[in-house]
Amino acid sequence: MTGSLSPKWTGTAFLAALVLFPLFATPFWIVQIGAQTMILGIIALSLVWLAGYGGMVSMAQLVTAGLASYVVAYFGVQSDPALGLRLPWGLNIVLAIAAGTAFGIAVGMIAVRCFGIYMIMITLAIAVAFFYLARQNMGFFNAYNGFHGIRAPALFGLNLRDPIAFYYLCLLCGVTLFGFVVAAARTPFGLALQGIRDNPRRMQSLGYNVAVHRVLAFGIAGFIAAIGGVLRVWYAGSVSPGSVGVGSSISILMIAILGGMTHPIGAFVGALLFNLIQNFAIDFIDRERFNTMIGIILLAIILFMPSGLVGIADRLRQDDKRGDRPPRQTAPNAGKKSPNIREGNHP
Amino acid sequence: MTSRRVFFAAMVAATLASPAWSQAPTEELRVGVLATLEGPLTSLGQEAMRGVRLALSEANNTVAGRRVTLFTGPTNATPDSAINAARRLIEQDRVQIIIGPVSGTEGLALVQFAKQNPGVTFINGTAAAPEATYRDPAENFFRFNADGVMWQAGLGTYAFQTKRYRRVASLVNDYSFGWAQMKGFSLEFCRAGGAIVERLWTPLGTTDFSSLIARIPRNIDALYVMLVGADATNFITQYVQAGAPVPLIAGTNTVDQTVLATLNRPRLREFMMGTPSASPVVDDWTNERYQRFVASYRKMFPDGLPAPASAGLGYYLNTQAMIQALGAVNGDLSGNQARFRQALASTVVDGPAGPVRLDENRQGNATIFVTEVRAAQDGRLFNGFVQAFPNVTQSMGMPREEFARLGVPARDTIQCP
Repeated sequence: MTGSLSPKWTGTAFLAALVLFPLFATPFWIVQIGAQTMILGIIALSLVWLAGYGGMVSMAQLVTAGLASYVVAYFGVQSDPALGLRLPWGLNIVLAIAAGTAFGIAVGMIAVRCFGIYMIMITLAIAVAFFYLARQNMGFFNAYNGFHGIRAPALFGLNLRDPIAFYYLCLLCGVTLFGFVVAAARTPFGLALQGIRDNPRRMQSLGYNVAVHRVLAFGIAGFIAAIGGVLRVWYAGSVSPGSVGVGSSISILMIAILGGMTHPIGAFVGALLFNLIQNFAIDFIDRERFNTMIGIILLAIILFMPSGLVGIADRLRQDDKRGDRPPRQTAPNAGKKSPNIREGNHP
Repeated sequence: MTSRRVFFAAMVAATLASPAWSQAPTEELRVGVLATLEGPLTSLGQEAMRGVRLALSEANNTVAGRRVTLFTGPTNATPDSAINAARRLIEQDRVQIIIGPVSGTEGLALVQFAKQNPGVTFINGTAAAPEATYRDPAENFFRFNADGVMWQAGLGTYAFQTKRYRRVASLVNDYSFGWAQMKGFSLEFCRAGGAIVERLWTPLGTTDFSSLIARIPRNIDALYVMLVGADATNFITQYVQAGAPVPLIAGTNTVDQTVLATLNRPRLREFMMGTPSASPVVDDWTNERYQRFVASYRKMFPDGLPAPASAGLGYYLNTQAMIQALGAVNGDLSGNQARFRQALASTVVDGPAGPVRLDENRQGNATIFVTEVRAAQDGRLFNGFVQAFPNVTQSMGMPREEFARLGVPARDTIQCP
């Protein structure tokens, strides 16, 4: 095995690069590219967890994150003195994450009996309903205006609004959640979930409660997305219906597809690529047409790399040495019964 | 093979040399413009860009011997998009001054953003939510255009006294600019003794108005409509198809040229004739300075609107203010732009509709016109001059404390009955 590095080494080098990155980069690269990639990656990670290990594609992950953002704004400090309940930040974060998790479980309970395209439809409906509620409701969501001037707290002498500190916070959350998902997939619960993904009927007859496993998977996804939502509202400083629009929900799906849903790292790879395209497409084309270019790039990627960037890496590695990684353990495959918006890398 | 390599080398060189990457030469001025180039307010964003270009071209794109380089930040009328675009303009394009945004809620978000970026000076575009300069304003945010309440000066009184409307209902876009316009209209209409019997609200970006049209009460004299951009065109078309039971009183942007120019069917034009509105722009005012502004607009943008709209005027005024203030300090942006900001605060802009100066919250006064939709010889519609109100202030001529007691614009500000 001289041709390629082992995954362990690549991973360590990758992490070192991420940690050292702010030493060389400008604030634009640290925050808008670095931190935002981590935030989008975390939200997409919740989808990759659900879709990759549970075979359930949910379009409601962004609004789950959005709900957490709204909770942070509603119970926290923001620009309008008449709004915001000004709870201490620690309690506020706990509330936000609890709300996101509860919302995830609620979405799971609604969507759990559906499979494939029907699950996508029902979660999309939830996302759209949430958007319209946020746009119309004055009492909790402050309608079209939303909330502005929300800032990350300063704690233990460390100001999290500082670009570098904020980047490391996002990186820490991203890496921890990534590790959490990888580890969760190997627990008995994670293995049972993958079993349910591949053959729910067989798992049922073996005595597993399929519905409960799926709802819990949604709860975990809600937990992950909520952390992304808290970071996102600190990053943007504001949350409004535009933050939870259908377009943004589709972006999250796009990120997961770009990166690939066969491994949790796909979420972050996809987020990086998506973010770079979003920020730099405008430099190469007329300011009024850059959205067309973004669309064409995304289309090309999906057309030529149907299993995303991670799929390409996996395929290269498998050509190199077959069976290098036991697919059941670390890289979930598309089983026969799983929804097929992704394409399995298993021959 | 070699030629391909040369080509790539040239590509890389070109990329590195492009303004987004290279270090700024000292004599160049980097100015960012936020404009809604996507979404329901696209036509306003395009008009806004015309205003900026017109003001800059009058100064030959040079201020105090320094060339002005423009960077556009496209937004879609949501506050998120405005913040993202502004962040990119500052951090990637390294602009020193930002002009914009178009939409009221974008403006509110940008004021908060301005507080976090004290090194950059923000000059508004046409965002017209009053709170942006009224409550808790930012030190580095300047607004030379009037706000949404001011834009309605004179309309309520005119509708009551001249048009003799007593009972009206309203249909307004449900966001900060709509609430501001509603406050401006009801302030005078209610004071004159009129009644607003039903208030209908609809989000920005509504395309199907049938259920709202069905909810318009029958026993009213007129309907106050304040819809922006594509919403206005969609509503007028569907309202006329539904039989248009009562005449309209229009908010500023509802009979803006960005909307009137899209009404190309005779029935729509006929119905809109005579609709009163109030606005910082008017299409046939005979004032010499104003006519010069309209003429140079038409000359520079033959394929633009028939006459400049409020978005064009707002961006023109604010860009003009930047040019004048930069000229006064000889392009000096040192010391956290302190001298420039001081100059900006005391600049009296030679505006097309009269001189504009800022109050202590860095909010400009304005001349506001009551207008009426009329048709030209060739059939196209324009806003005809009825009355002019010079020097409208942010508190609408009332003492500031008394005006403040009316409350921040919201769905239920100023009720009658």
